[in-house]
Amino acid sequence: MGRERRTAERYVVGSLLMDLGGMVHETLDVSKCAVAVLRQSTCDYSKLNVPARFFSETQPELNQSIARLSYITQRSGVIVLGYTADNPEWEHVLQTHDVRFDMKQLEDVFG
Amino acid sequence: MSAAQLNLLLSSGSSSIVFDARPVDAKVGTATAAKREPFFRHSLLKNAIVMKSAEGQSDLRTRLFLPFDSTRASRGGVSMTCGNSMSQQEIETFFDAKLDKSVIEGDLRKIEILARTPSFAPFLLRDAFERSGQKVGAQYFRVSETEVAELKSLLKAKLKPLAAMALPSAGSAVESTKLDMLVNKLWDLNDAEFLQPFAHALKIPDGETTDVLYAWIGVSYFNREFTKRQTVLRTFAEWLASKAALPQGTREDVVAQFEQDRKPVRDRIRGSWSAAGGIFDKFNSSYDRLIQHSDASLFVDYLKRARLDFHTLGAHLAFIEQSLCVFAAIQKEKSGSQLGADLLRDLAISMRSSSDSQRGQAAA
Repeated sequence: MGRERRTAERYVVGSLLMDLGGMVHETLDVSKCAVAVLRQSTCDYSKLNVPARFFSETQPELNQSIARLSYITQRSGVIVLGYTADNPEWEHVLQTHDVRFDMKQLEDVFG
Repeated sequence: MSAAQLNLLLSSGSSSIVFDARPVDAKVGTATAAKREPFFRHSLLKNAIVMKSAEGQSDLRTRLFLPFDSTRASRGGVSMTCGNSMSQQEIETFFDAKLDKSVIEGDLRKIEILARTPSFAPFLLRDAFERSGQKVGAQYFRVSETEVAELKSLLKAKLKPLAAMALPSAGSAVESTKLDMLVNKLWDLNDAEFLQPFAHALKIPDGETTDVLYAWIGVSYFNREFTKRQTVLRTFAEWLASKAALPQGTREDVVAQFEQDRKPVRDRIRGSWSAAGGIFDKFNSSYDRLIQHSDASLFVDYLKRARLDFHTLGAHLAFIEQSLCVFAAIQKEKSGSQLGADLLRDLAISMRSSSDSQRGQAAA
């Protein structure tokens, strides 16, 4: 999972939150298989067999249940969790809501 | 800029290069239109129109234009170039009059903000005035509260990975610190105590933190503005390249002039678009590297050029906006109309004159 985390494209999605056993976590970046969230002192990350889901208060298309969670790593204030989401379109949803903009060079018309 | 282009820009609502400070009744030429607080307090400036124009390849000028007839602005007027710092003496020389300091002072600060901000895109300009603390009626910026909220939310979201760099060290949990709060501090840029260690980590020279980070936010905003325009710009570029732009039977001299005008316009658009694309490539790769590899080295490098890029993008956007406004007017005309060809001609001439003025300045 750690290797996948390193190679998979990461997205930054403004309103994406993660509910982990009833505790809401801010996401920093998310790929199709891993998510970096803000660590919370009151959450026990050794017990990851709790109900979890992604959600957004403003964009319902970002609501997505999570089938399985696993610990990958942690760094300053952040914990990285691996996950699986039973939705083949999930990465496309993340891509659509990413904060970056892809400006094309229009080489086909400008040469 | 020709009278026809000025008319187009004033009537199109394309406000990223034209800021119209005239009262509503002057704009529509009726006495029944709703009045509003004047943007400038001094009566000499009440009908001012401020314009951004791209000069040469990437220079951006701000001009204050005072029409002779405020209800028919395209019939001419007087103009002065505005700098980032404006003195009372400069404006008194322009008007050849002694002005009341208590009245003109606030207006000078407003002109400085207009000059410093590289585009009059309503969101950007409104934000610049908010940050400066200058009180200006929201009605002067053609942007809805919803759009402002959406844009702020989007740009703030982009600050999340940067805010994460300011999180407590490994091993400690975030406790009550919210990412939102950190993001808001990076957005507001007014908490020196928070910004100082952050600036050191990003190797931003002392005293430049606010300007550098504001410019980064600005480039991020321009990234969205350019992307929004790519579809219509493509259509324009295709139209400029198309042999069928003029119908069969068009007079030979019109065809010849059209051929002569469209190439420089196309070359100039290509130049601006490609230069902006190059800037966004660097901007996005440094951000991608930060997210994908938690490596800030490219990002730190990028910050060194953020201010220059912010202003350069303003110049490219000004030119593209001017061209698209003309194209929108051409599209309303019948295919091959003389007016359409004339508008293209105007655009080609204004581009040539701005390039010539740049060359002249370089020679001087």
